[in-house]
Amino acid sequence: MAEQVLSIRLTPDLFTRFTAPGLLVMPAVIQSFGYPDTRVAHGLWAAAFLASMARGPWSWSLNRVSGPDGACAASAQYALPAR
Amino acid sequence: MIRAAALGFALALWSVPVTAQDTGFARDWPQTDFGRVTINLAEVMSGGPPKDGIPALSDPSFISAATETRLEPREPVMTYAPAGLPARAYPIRYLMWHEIVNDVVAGQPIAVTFCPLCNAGMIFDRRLGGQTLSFGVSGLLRNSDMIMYDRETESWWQQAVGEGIVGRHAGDKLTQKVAWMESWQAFRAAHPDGLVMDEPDWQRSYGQNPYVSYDSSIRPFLYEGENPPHGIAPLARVLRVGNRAWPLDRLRQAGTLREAGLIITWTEGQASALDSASIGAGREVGNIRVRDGAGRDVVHDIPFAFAFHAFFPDGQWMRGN
Repeated sequence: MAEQVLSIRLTPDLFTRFTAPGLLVMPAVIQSFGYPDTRVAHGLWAAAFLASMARGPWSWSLNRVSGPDGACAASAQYALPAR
Repeated sequence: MIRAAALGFALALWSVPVTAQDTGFARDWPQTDFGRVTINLAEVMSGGPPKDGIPALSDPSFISAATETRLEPREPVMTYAPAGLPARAYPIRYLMWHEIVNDVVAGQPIAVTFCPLCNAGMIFDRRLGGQTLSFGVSGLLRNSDMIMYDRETESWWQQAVGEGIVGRHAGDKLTQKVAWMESWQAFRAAHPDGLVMDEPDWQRSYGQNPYVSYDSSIRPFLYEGENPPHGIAPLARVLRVGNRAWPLDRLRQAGTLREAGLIITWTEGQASALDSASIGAGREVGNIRVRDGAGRDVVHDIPFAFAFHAFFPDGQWMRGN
């Protein structure tokens, strides 16, 4: 269940820093208890999640509207009417 | 008779000051002493963001101006150049999203402030009566100008005049420091050994202006006051020195102006931060320097005309002939 939900969240880069650690657990578990011969594939997955955790959301992500404290940037500027 | 009584009753109601309880401020600001108020609270409006929704910064990092490559040549910075110390540039691209930077320069605590809705960029000494204050952004506006608050007493401060308006510090005044807004290019040329504030660790669109075309608006945001006199556009920039204001159009035409004991110069090269989506591509507004007869820089700022009129209603408009 978690792998579906977390993947759906990570695809649009939403809540990246909270989502990536959850997904990082998966290849670790599979590597350790399921398929110990697939180190390269799991290593690549883990590297991608670690990079997302370290860097945070990318410039085109939904997370672009939120700050590191989770505050929504949409309310982080004055609400001028659209022109 | 009845009509006169009704009119009198209405006028009496009109003149009753609005209290903090009426507005809900007391609930949202439990630490603020609403027993001390120097303004009409009905003039205070929410700009949209909650308290600290626009996050003020403290103790920023600096890098050498020579190594900074992210800034556009024409984009504005606030320059603070105390004698005997490396000059510091605070890029407006960061102040646009944070509005206040609490810094300490050679042991002296300062607050670098910028209100995008008034274009007022001002640096204040954070010391007051033996206490050092640190400031945050309340999210509230009065006459479209940022209301800051201090974290020590949660008093409210009107940025455009540096005055306490609500709370324990109501009526107190911060000391404005000599600082000026100039282009990054001008700063780097004048201070090759200077320092520039590094990019903050926040997810913000630094370099972008969230208030596109604001300085060509007809009316300021959440401003209900009267327009400036003499047909001056509300969002035209003016140079304010004390209670005098020089329209920037006049300074642009003059180039150099000697008036009121001041030598004012306008030179090309600074972009408006409140015009295009990219701050560095804004239309030309020019660099202003203000010096006295001895060549010393003078305390000033460059607000919009409506803000000068709102906060200095008896101010002098320096329009020349």
